[in-house]
Amino acid sequence: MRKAALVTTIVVSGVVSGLSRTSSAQPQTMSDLMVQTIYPASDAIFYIETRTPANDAEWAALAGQTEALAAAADELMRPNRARAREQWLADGRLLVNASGAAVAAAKARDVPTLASLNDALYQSCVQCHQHYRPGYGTRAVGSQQSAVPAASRQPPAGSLEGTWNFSTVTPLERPAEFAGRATMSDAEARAYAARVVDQRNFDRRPESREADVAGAYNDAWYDRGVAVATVAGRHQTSLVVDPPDGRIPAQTPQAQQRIAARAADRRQHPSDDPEDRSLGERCLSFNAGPPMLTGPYNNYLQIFQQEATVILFNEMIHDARVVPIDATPQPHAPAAIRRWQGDSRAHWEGATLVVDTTNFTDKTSFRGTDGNLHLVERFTRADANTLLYEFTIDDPTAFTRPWTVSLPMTRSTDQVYEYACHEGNYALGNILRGARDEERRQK
Amino acid sequence: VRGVALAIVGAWALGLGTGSIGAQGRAPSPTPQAPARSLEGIWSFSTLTPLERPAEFGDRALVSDAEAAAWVKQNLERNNRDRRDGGAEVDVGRAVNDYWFERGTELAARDGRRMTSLIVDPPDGRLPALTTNARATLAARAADNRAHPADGPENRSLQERCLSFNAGPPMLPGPYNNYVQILQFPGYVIIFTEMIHDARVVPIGDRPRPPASVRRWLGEPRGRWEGPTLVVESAQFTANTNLRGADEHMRLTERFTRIDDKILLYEFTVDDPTAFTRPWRAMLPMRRTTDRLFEYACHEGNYALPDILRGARYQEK
Repeated sequence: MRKAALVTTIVVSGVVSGLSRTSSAQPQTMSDLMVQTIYPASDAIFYIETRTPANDAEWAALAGQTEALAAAADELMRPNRARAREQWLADGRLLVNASGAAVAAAKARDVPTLASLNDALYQSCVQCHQHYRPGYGTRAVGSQQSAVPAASRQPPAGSLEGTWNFSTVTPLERPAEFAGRATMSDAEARAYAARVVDQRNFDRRPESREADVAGAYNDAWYDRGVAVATVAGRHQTSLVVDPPDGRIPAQTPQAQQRIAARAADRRQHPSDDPEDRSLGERCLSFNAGPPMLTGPYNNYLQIFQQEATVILFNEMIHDARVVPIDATPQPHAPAAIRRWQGDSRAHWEGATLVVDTTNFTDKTSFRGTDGNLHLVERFTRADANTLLYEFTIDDPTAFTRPWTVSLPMTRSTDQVYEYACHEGNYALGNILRGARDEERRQK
Repeated sequence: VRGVALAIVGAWALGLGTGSIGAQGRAPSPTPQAPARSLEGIWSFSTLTPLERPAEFGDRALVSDAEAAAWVKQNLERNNRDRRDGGAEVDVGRAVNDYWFERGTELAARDGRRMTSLIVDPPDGRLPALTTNARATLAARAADNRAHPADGPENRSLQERCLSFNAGPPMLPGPYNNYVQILQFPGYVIIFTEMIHDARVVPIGDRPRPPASVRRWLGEPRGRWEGPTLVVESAQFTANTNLRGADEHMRLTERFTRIDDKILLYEFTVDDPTAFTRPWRAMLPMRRTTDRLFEYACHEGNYALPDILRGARYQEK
């Protein structure tokens, strides 16, 4: 993994220096400036202690990145960029100062000083975003469901509580057969669900022996859901509701490069070490997310709610997210602190609980996301038996635009069961053992 | 998993689960009303008071601050992992620096004095004798461990396997991560330990238990209020956890009482007639803290377990 991370860093820095060469010729949009220069250069500084440059070339690349960051800060201070002038300049000055200090520290190869600049750099990001990024930390990014009335301005006590099942047969992305249609009719929904359930039946015994062995688990072990996702009578053809075509938007070029580099590394080193295997195989991360998404089983969420705290307790991997509910938006943890589940803070917008999460590690990857993922989840009680769960993926270094998913959950009287994974995880050890055995035989 | 869930639901529907392990003649619970969320907060349970009373304190359950301070000073010096004396082997055994530990710096306080053991009953502050059966079981297990120290991961401790720690239940002070966050909700109390990030969801009231064949690492808890005290009774543990000799028949009763602004008194009783010749009870005052719980990690860095097994295979060759 370390190899992969270094490759990524070098690729990214190559992109940055390439772009900064062209930037003088052609004015960049604010988004370009953020995505191509400020995010990756800031990340290089935030992660300085875990991805410390190891040789002259890497130190030179880092120095180049800090210079690009300082140039971007200067660019922000130019008259044509400034918005509400005084505030903008004051916010920009923070980045000018932090990046200037970073240039000197990178040239001096001074890791402690670079690390100590994290807070100043983070402060410059947050302050400017609070002033100028629409709805930063509070926003309802692209909520698509107007079907749910915001009846009350006050959050109803206990409105989200209960055990909720989020299994469904509706796929994340819209299948070709429903192209151009966000919803399907009642009859279509019944037919589609019946077809999917039949196709997925693991008790079928396909003719090819290989397919039969691949389906070795009996259907009893799965709990994939039997119905199309439905909110207020609308049967969804995809869980992605924005973009309107129901498909995940294109990845940015740098995300494509990162993912390609990782895939190449995987091909070359499929099982040298446990780190080469997926987080799922390692019992570290599953469809409990965040964000949550329907998986083969354990699609249960239990919610506990009071004024100041909500607990999102997943059956999958028994993760409990303890989320503070803020009356006024509060900042996230400093950017240098990264967590598997990110840093979540919640607030109410009418009857909707909005959970805002940042500070992810770059180890989880939700369909291509990286450590810059800004996740906004929305929980709205649609009716007695339905909890509407929506989330927006906003990750400018991974996707060319934000995208939004709508996943209605249904009330369940089942009990969330204790989870087990590691204690029976003989597969991981056996995969590595098999790989070592293969190596011996090839010698 | 569906198969299991269906089995439980089926058993409940037939009424098989109800009362199979249930409370014996317990009075109906009072209204499941939490007294104004009195237990909420983040609590630290680090302390140097050991579970069992050290011999030097004899029959004294409580000592003065001065006596406690002298004992603490000696204890901290003896266990300081930054010491480099005692020869190469001892030095290597202290390889993890003191910085990584957070054992506490005091003996637990009670009634203005200091506790010499967490066990308060039996009065000698020591674990009661094990039953004959339990001794035989433990001896057999110890013999098996000697004969098969590292054949497979199951031969190693639950801690080395990142499966169970001092988060329990019951909670006991350990070398670090001695923090618990308690949150009260209508009908539930959640006990969230920093160690191994276990969230215990305790339903309040007499809901039926799953059948006795359903066993859990954390046991099956039921809560009730006795005045200002939350009482949590847990049973249906697995045979895999082993609290000082307890087995899967352990019935654990925990009591949480808010004493004042800063102190939450945690008490627990272990009643396991197949393991101990009598029940025993411990007391652990927890202190309010303004620290935050951090995300827990264990498996993702657990290179030790495969290395132990690899070393054992190498030795066999």
